[in-house]
Amino acid sequence: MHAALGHEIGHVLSKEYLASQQQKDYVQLANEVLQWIAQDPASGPATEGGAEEYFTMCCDLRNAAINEIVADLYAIQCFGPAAFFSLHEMAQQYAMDESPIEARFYPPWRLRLRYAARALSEYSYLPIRGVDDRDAEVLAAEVARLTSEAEDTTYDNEWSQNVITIAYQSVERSISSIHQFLREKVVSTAVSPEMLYGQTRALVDRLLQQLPPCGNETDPTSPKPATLPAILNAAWFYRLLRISKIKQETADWQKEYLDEMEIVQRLTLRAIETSYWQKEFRNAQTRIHN
Amino acid sequence: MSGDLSENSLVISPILDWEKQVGIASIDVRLGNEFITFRTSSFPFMDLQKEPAKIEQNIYRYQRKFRIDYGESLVLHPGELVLGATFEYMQIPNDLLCYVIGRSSWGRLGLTVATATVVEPGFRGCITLELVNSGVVPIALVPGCRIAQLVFHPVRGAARYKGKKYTCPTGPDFSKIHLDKEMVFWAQPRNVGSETE
Repeated sequence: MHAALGHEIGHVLSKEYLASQQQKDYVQLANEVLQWIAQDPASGPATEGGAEEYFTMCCDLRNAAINEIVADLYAIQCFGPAAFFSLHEMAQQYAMDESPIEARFYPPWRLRLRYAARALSEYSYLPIRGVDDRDAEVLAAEVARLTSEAEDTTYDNEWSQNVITIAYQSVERSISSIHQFLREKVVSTAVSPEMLYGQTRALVDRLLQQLPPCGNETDPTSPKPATLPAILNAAWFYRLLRISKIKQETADWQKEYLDEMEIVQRLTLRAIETSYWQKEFRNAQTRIHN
Repeated sequence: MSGDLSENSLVISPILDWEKQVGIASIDVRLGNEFITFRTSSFPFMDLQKEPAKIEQNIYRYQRKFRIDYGESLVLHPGELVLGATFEYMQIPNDLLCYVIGRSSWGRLGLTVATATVVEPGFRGCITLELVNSGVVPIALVPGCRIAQLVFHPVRGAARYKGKKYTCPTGPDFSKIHLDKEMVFWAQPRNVGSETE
């Protein structure tokens, strides 16, 4: 839920990015549409006015995709790998490769996952660290599995509708400027991999002990409350580590997994709440004593 | 409490104010913001002679769980019982027994805390607090305040916690009396004297 929240807040930035689009991007798009029509008149519009309609559709497809992708990448900058895992889980409820023309221009989930997976590398969240070496290998295998599902370039193979191809090639050309835009805008809220992975190991250890992952309490007189991204990522790492282990241990793994995850979800929500109050109380004590 | 996270460590998390909460012989705990209260219901009494599924159904008719925001308060009227839970989540090691008792500051206002006081070795979770207003005026309960204290006793032996009725609770739990298998035996109606006739 929190990663989805990051995506929704990211839409504020995606609107700003689209508003900043330069005329040259649309001119290039228009030229590509006209070029396609010139090369293959049989596949193009029946009338001259139809070219404008195709160009408009191209722009709508492109902008709808950028709208979602910018929001996804913002969520990843705020929440790290947890945002990718959440996006992947959400995508399982839908058809991964639904044509955007059938889906009111909403981009295919696989396309979004592809860019989200690449962003994990772009923002140095891969390889996942902040767990012990054996767990890092298991997580690497899980991440590779999830990202391989994202990489299947279905929009080239499944539907070779030229207008979609032109639109999404334009999206591909915009990705580096999207990253640049987000880097400039998200300086204060982005979570650095070092800060994230510096916390996750202790939090995963707590979950293994069925304790809420609210912070590092190796010194109980001076606990260090965890950040929200660290809590969410620790919960995801624990989840991915446990599912692979539970599958090996028992035939009735689904029930055991669901029972265990019910506890983990409660512990994670508890940790989010208590780490917040730890910080608030500490700030209040500072104000009272100063 | 050493900060070590093994199964045999006492963990109370989080302790917001170590100096105020950790005393010479006890540890203060705070009130959480989730509660279970009791509804006026259409059935005349909590009948434990029903089958377990029916008892469980009646428990959920009789009680309701809700949360209030920190900063709000819950008013407990004279004679009223409410179930709350500790703000802190704890792990009790296998060689310690824990008692939950009220703080005298609250007791002197009429608040009785934790009518069922023992927490077994090996328990993990937030402790459910049974809060009763034994006084004559309503009391406003404020989530976050220090409401009770924990006292520990070492125990011998290597018994492991077997409690399955309440699993890593993070708030107050409803009664699980319907899972008590003995209830079926004792609640069974019997014809007294029929064997002698």
